Amino acid sequence: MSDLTALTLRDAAAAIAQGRVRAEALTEACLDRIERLQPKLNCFIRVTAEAARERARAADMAVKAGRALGPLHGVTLAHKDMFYRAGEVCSCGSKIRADFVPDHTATVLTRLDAAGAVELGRLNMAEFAMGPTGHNEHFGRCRNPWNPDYITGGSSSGSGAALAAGLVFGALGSDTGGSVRLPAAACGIVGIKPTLGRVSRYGAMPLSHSLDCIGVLARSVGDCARLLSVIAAGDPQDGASSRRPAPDYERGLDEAANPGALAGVTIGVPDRYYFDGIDPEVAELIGASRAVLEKRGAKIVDVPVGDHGTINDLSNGVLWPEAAALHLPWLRERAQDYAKQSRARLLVGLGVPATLYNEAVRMRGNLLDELLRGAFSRCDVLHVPVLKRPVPTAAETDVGGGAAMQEVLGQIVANTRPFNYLGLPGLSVPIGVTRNGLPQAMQLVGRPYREDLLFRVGAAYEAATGPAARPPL
Amino acid sequence: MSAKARNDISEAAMAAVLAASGVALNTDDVGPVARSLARIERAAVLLGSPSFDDTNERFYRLLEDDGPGAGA
Repeated sequence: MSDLTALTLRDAAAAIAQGRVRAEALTEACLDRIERLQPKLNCFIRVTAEAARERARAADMAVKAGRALGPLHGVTLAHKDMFYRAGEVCSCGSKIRADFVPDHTATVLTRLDAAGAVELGRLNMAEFAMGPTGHNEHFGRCRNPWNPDYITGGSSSGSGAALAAGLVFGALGSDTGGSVRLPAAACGIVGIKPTLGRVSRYGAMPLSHSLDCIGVLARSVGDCARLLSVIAAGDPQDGASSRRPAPDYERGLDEAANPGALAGVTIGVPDRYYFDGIDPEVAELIGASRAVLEKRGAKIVDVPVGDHGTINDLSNGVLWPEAAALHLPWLRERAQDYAKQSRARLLVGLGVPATLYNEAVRMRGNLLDELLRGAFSRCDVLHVPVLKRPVPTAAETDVGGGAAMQEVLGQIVANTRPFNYLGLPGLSVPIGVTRNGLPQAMQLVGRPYREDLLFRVGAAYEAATGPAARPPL
Repeated sequence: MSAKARNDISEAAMAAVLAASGVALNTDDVGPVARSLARIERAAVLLGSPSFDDTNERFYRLLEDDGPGAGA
């Protein structure tokens, strides 16, 4: 095989399990590529090459010995630097936690380890997962493999860029307001934010306990489905995780290649907000992606949604008070160690009265009920753009903590954050590039716990259009 | 409470709230926070206040009871 890093995660896992490729060779191929591209992209905060080599050698021995193999046996991954592993530094993208060594391991890492994954290191991210662009004052900006002048999206910036650059086969991210779907969209890969509670958050850096979701990013829908199948499960160590059993999300994806694969699926197009002010180029790509789904058998209908722009505003009344409460001791004692933008956003949380916070939290039931009884009584999946505009340059979004910050950042998260507030699953799937050469994505949103259906629709789109393009590196 | 009353927080009052948190402030910190708060307040008014019996638990019950596998 000429370029092992060009394989999909599922193909790489199959090749290792069948003895056609050694895990050690796959690891070395990724490490070589990291060495070549890290100076250009700054995806990694830390590369753990020796530990990865050791684990890869053990994986090869297990294959040779005919031992039972997990679904990620020998496959190289790397993760946003916010998932704790006992005894190893976890910076959370910050100066404040630059030397933090946790004493326990995140459940998601334990599950990936048990599935046989080989971790290559830790990926860049926005400071404490608080920014949607990929800027980071402490570790340097992560750059988009499609064009380093453009943002990667964030906060899982390194996860998006490393996948697009072919440095790893999958990555964990977190999504509190769009932090998996935005980098997936801006980097031209696939990312899923599962239903709130689907994945354990034990051992993951918290930002907002009402909104935080752990998600995964990969280069194909099927790869994402495999990763989510591995990490989705109830967890006694996370009392807020769902106890319902997680399905095998890969089941049925092969049938998605059939021409009529989406017969019986109704795709809903919101009648307001998500397309307001959309850039014409993005609108054209989104329209074309809808036509592909229709051709595969889906029925397309317009559906009413409530005032989701206002929901977007209201979600600030949940996110920032919760984040500010977590950060208050450091805000008091180490304010100078925060980036200006992070500090400015945390201050918003200090200004929200407890009664307003509580009101914003309690309103979620009614607003979710309204969407389930309204739009989701007429369709199975919502179809909206992740971004309403082409991916911006880093310079356009380098707004510090000043007055323009809320507006610029608000535009980026406009179409993702309402679904965090509502707790619903969202899948970002690439749909082409705009004239600036940067990718765009559709966002498929489902009822609670219908990640399986989102994968099915995404896989049908992928089967119809072929694998997503890769950046010219 | 009317929308007007809810939005009627002055920057001076906000500065006092922020100062009470014990966090050191710069002079240009307060305005953006006051504007953000006004937007959140406005959103809460526009979307309609929850009733006395609308608890946070209802949201999680709706999430958990919806879709396949509910109650499993």
